Amino acid sequence: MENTNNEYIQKILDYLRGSVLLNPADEIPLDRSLLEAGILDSYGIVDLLTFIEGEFGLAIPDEDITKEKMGSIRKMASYIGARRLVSA
Amino acid sequence: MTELCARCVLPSTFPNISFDAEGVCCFCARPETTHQNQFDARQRQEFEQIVHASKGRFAYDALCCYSGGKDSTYMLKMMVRDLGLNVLAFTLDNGFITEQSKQNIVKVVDMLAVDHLFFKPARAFMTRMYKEAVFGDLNQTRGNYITRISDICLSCISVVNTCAARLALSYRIPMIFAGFTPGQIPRAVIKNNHRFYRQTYQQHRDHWNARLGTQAEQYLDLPDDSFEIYQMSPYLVFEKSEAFILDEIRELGWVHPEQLDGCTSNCALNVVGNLCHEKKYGFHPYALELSKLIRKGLLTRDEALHKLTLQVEERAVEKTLIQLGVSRAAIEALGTRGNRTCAELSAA
Repeated sequence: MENTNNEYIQKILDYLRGSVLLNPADEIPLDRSLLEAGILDSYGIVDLLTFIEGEFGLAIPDEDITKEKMGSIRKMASYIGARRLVSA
Repeated sequence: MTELCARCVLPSTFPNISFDAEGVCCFCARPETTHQNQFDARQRQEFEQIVHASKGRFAYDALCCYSGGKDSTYMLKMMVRDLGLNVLAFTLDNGFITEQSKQNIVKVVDMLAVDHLFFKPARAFMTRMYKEAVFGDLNQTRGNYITRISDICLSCISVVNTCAARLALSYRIPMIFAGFTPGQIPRAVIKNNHRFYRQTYQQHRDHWNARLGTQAEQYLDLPDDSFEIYQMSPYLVFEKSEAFILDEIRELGWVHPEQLDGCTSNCALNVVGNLCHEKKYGFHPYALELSKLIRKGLLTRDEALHKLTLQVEERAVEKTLIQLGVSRAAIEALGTRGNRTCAELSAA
């Protein structure tokens, strides 16, 4: 499970680094809100969630877009893992 | 020397860009997400469900952010005639909407028989905000926005979004429609975006109030309100070409204003925002949006290049600069910062 989550983390990082959403020089924290860290603005967060839905074939319901569930890259990866496990 | 991508219009000065041997940029070469088709279908279904579920619940079904430009004009027509919505149209007059655009607005809302409100924020506040955005550090803490929007447009759209949300909250309007193109926004439906705006203001309050005064609160903050609003961007689910849109709005009496740059059809300030952006950052603020439209097949590369290079008469630019209280020399001096990359600008 942890290995799978690491793959999701890597995919998210690859997406962010290859996108126009942040500065290439930015350190991307795994355990902090990207919004609160000033790395992404609200547009960037929506863009990232859209990528996750399109890439991993998930529909993220509104009630899941919370700090507890999606408040960092590591939490996003865990969320993807849990959702994919349920739908497998 | 600046080179352009062989497929889109992104230049070599664009942040984080690279080109392959055929001169194609890394953004054009990037594959779509694995389940993109599935996402697109779901997005359209969600859009239609929300429109259906929102009808008739309150006095107005939807608020239309109506700038008077071609995209929001066709969107308003679509809302009334195709979707059958009871609409309140709202125009934020940023002080630079052309006279022709104002005439268009009045004609179109009459033709479509919708209620309409003009709101003009205090000129002193808006001018100060534009200047702080261009010459100061107003937006420096807002992430990597410079790839997709100019300092001036970002500031202006923030006020538009906040004022529209405040209006929707006070009238209890469950949907806000905005004429964003598929190149400007990543998804068609965003729930409770007004909470993001509120959060953004809370996050930047000290910084913004220091630059703009406490008046910033009335234009950029929102009340804490549990009312739910969907922000709807119909052009992401009903993709329309520019030619189609222009054809459709002609029957409403809409006339294209003169002396505007190729990336706007209502705002005389846009050209100044573009000039400042190019001076500061070394690329056109619409290059990314137009490149996305090219990739989606909604615009040809030649059409995009035409938009980016359409010249506005110098006297029209001067008139706008005088109104803004900014000299040409001040804009030229922005260039002394050089065409630095996003990372360099951020580190500076």
